[in-house]
Amino acid sequence: MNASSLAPVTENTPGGKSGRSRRPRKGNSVLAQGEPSIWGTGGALVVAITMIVGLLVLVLIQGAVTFWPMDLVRIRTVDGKVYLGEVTREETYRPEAEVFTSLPPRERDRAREAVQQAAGVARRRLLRTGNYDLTGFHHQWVSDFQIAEESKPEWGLVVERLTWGNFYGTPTAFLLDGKEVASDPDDIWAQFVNHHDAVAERFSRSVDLNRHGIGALSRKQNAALLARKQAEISYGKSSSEYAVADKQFAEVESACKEEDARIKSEINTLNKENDRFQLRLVTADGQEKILPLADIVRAYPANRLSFGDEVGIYFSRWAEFLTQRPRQANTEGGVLPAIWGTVAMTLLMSLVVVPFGVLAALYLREYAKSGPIISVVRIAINNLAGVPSIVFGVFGMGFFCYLVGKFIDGGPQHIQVAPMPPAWWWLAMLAVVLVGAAAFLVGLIGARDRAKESRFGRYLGRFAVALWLLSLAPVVYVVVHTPYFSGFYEANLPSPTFGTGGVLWASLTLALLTVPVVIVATEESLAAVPNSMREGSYACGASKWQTIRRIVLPRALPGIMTGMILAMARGAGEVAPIMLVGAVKLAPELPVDGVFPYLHPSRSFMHLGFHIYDLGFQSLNSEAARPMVYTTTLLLIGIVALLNVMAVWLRSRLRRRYLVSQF
Amino acid sequence: MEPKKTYTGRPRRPRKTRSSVWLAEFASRRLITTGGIGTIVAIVTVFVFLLYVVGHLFLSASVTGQAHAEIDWAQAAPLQMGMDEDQLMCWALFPDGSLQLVRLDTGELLEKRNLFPDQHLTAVSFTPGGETTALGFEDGSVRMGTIRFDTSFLDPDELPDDVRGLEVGQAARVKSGMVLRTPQGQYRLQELAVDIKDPAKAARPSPVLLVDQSKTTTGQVVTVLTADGKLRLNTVLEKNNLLTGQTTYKLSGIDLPYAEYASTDPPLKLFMSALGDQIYLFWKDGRLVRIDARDKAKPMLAEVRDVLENGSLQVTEVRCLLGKGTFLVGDSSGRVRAWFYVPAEEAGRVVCAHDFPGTGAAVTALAVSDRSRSAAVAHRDGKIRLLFVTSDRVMAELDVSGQIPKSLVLAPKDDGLAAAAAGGIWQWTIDPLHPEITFKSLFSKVWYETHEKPEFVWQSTGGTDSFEPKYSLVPLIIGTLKASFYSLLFGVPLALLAAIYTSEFMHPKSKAVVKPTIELMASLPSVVLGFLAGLVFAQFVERIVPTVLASLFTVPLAFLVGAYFWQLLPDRLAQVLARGRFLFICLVMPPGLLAAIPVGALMEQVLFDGDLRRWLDGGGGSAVGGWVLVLLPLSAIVSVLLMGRYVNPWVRRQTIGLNRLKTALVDFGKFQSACAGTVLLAWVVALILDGFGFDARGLFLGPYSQRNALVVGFIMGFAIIPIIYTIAEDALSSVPEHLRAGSLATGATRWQTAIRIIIPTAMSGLFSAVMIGLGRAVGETMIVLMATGNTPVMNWSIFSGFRTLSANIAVELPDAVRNSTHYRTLFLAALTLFAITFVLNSLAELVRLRFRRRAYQL
Repeated sequence: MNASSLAPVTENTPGGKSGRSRRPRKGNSVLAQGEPSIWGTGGALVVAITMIVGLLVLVLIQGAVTFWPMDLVRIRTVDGKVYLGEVTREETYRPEAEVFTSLPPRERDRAREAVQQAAGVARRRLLRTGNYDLTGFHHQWVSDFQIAEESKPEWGLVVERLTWGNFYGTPTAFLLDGKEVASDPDDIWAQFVNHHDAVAERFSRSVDLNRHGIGALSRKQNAALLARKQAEISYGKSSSEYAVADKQFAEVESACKEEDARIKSEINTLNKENDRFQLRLVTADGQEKILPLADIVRAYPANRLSFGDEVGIYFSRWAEFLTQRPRQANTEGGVLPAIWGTVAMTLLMSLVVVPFGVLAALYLREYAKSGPIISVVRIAINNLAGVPSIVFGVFGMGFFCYLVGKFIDGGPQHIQVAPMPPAWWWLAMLAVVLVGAAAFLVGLIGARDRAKESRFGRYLGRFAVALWLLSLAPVVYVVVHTPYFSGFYEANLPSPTFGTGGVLWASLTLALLTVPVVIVATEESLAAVPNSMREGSYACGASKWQTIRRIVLPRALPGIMTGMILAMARGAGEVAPIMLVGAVKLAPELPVDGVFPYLHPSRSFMHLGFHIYDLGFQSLNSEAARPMVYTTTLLLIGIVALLNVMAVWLRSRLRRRYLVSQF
Repeated sequence: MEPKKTYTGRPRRPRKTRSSVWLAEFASRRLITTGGIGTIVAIVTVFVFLLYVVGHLFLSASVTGQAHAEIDWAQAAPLQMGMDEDQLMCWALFPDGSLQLVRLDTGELLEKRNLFPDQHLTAVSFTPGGETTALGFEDGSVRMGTIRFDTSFLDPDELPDDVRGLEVGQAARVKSGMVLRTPQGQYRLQELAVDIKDPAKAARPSPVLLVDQSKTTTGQVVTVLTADGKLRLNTVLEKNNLLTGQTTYKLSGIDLPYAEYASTDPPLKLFMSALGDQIYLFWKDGRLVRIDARDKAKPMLAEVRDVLENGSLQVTEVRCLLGKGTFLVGDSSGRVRAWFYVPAEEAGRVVCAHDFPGTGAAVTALAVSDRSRSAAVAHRDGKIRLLFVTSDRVMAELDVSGQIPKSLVLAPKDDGLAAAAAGGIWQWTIDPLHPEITFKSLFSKVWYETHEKPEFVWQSTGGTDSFEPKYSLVPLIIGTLKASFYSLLFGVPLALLAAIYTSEFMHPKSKAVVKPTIELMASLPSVVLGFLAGLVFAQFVERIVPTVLASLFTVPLAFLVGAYFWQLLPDRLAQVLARGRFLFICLVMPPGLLAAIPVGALMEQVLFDGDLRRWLDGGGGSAVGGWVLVLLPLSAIVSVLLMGRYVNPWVRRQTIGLNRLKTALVDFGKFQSACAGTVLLAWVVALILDGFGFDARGLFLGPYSQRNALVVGFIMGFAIIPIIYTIAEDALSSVPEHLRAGSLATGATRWQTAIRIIIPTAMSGLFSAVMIGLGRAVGETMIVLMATGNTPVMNWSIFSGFRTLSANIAVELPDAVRNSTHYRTLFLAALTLFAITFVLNSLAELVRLRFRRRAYQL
């Protein structure tokens, strides 16, 4: 498509070379205007915009309609099977010859004829039939020519369950303590509506007790166990410290046991109360199933809903999606942990990236002497923004998780580094401290001399910086080879604490990835502050720092904010690196929660982008996961777009402000 | 002037700067400098760290320690030796059936056993990988068993005091084993564990000359060559006596075709493959006989060949590598060659894949590794070489000071080597590092076991222990290039043309809407595009492949046809409508898309014999159709060039004086004939190519897989459009306005201005946009991860999948063991990506800086 659109590129201006005096004015202007070429370029733009709009509309529509309750369809096929379910998709296809042979002989010819009349094309619908525990499949394709009878049963019930996915059937009884209390659908429904809220409330209470109560106990026990193990490692089994720790552990264990029994009995009571309520349903093919009410998340008679009910269900599903944890291998329930993980990681990342990015930009723009080195550094930083994100992921995994993390976990020996003998270590330490102190002093003297504008002072300053840089490698060496550190989480080894992916490592990795964005944006906004303002400030006697703090930074703030938001948008959407440094399919605990110390930097986390990847490509039942992928995608695009729009808005505000400050 | 009084009457401010200001100044300068430089250093760390991890790959193995202990083994050379994991001791089995265990550091004899007091040992076979050993005896019986080291941890309280006082890393003798204090502070005891089963009696008692065994899925299989000239393939039958609890063994099997050789000298070595279906016999004179026993009912003599290919030499030692597929043949010139069997439908063959040239001194002993494809070879002049077979690498060269090494053993973890000679035992500890990796094994063809020829293969993990890892980066690099090529093919024209339209022909108000919209797309998470590509678009395209292919032609054609119709409009009307031109362009697109459906069907009918899929799979239809499809874009370019060079000037001359409508009609006619000419040209060239027997299938087209380069090209092209578009548009817009104004003022049309003035000026900016787009495409991970099958195949077919460097990292790194060869190779892939994109971006940046300078000068 690319070649033909360039057609008249090499047209010559009429009469240009011949030098004839009279140039033709009519007719040839058509050729000179190059209309086909303009249309070609315009066409490219149209295609690009169509693709963008098409993509957004597709995601928007698919994401938006997913939660809308569909009508229930009951289909009896010609070979006698009965299905009840929601139509999720429909398409046309070319049935193979074998499709017909499975039909009963009488129907076979009729179906074949019908398909032939439609030029070999047939329509089929994907029915979500649920009832996985009874049938072993979630979905069923039904072609139009297979259908013998189609109806919409009035009391077809959609039951969203905690386990096994959806259930579709018609209610036959409401059981209270195993006794039938209602058998008429209207009564059953009334009973269900009556009791379900209370049951759900009790259920969520028992889940809470389980998660928080029992969880806290096991945490406490675990901590005591680790303390005992740490005492064993540090002091030996026969030491008094170990005895103390052991005693403490025994106390904690017995206390926990009592508490555990209390909570469990409470949960039991709740569950027992819940077990009284049951719903009996019959599936389309006549099988009976009794569902405990506690197992039901939501149920509704799909074909009896008014528009208001449908809207209600739609929004309650959205609410569930945004505020609940996932169920059923992430294919149902909500994405709260993923939202939470994304937000926590992004915020943590911006906490790191903004100060350092701004410092680097301030250094490059305000302090560093511009010269070839600084331009090279600037180009390099610009280019880093284009380095593939997976490379940063590889670095994060190798450096943060496997090197720094393992060092934190188990000290030098855990990263296969032999600690130095103590005497040597102290000597090295002393040398490093001396170099550091020397650098500091030289810098101090240099700063004083520089104030006097002496060349000596400038040299001293450079010397100090060089000294600082030189002492960096020995500092790292000395720290890594310390003989006095054997890890903060020694007792937990060999299972890693920081030595594996976690939210801290993910945010640091992404910080490295996005720091060029912040530096570039900040530098641009610093450059945009007119020099006249700086000079004016100096003329009033302000020092450099005062000028930066009072004059430059406030003017540059919107630009810095833009950079931060752009960095956040990029960080929130990146998946490739965090796959390597801590995003997981299902995290049992949130990286930030209400348990001291609130932020748990070593925990792995869920992430919206990774959730999309995982649902779409690692899920066993990808058809069932599909709606969730669309809604998650919509959510992620929404978050990223929101951040970007904010950045654009800030940028335009910033531009206005500069216009004002020009006067 | 009075110093005390000022003009305003207020007291004069102090002249001296307050110390708090000084302090703040100092602290801020220090903080900003430290933070700034620190951030830059941190960024540099990324590169340095990658380099550091990768650097280990290319270091060669180093000998870290050496020891020599005098032991008097002068009477006989050990048949086989074995070393423990900690390289503290070693056992040696002698021809008389005695087994000795000695300390390697002191030479102290820890234990001595006579394994077979009432039998005479005549043949042994050891299988690398610590599997079962087969021993043959003079009475014709065969015994199976294992000789290995057992490890156990001892309770410190039970140990004698001197052992308990061991420092970490030290070892001491306990009973007949050695105890080592591990870095974790435990006491690890290693002892010799010998487990030899009862003899399996053969039907005919004749002395066993050679024996080899394999453990197959159906049971243990033993091949025995006896002195009476019979070569038998036996199964070991196990029989449990329920009363006594004793197990007795019996051999039962078939005779292999050996009669031809029964009367000659017996062979030097006998091997059988791991599956027990190929039997190999090596003679001293270099003869290799392979017997194919896949069909147990009819084993046949499959192949006889000369493994020396030089009559004056002699085979001195043969050993099989881990997995029993490759045989190392050492000869009297010191050369070591690796042979393996390449299976094939009809007749497989044994090939020489690796050759280590000789040093002149004959090979006296070979030892193979239990875990990799490394081997040690000893020469008559006392030199010992450590080889890695797959990568043809000589890892280290050692020396036993003039003695003749008679037996060799490699440590179980490949990190040590011991050699026995008349003067005792020499021992070396070695850090093998990563012998699998050389520049050659990464970037050129390597002949892997059972492969028909040297190939580029990436296959890092396999099912079995004896798997030969294949680390060729070439398929991944090809995959990366393929993904980038197809996505640029789609994305670059679209983005550049769209940028030209936006900057030159669009109303500023529309531009203010369109540009940010496309820019916003740059931050669309790629995982979203990947999901849409893999789950939605791939399935959609699969159903309408011909239509999609047709739309590549019909949509651009629709725009052009629209333009020619537009030209037919009267001048005045066209000028009035020109403002809404974009709307009209938009309106043309749907017909173009719709036209793709019938055109696609027609194309499938005419070019591909009615069924594209079947045609792609190689069935039916001539190759012409595929060539036409591939050549159409090329011939379109050719015809455009020809038009511009020869036809357009002619048309211009002819149309002088014609009115607008007539000119437009002539132009339209020209366009139509150009289209016809394009198709004709493509067809003719396709016929010629087909006539010469070339077929596009296998080159640019191939069997259809759902997730393929077409889908990736579309979606990744879409992903790089925003970035190329933004940079290109910026470059075009920053061409100084006076150039544009001047050109228009001299009477050039907008199009002439764009093509002659603006685009040439902004060319370097456009180039840098494409470079940055390329950088994006090269490193993109999620889209290719989700939208390709991730199979590392090597071809340029638009309908097949591939695996890129980035996707490969994402797939394999989570499972790679830290600091293993695999892990470091993946880091190398990351470093390669880093380098490629960094170079591309720097290039783009330099070009852009040049452009900017030029633009300012103009």
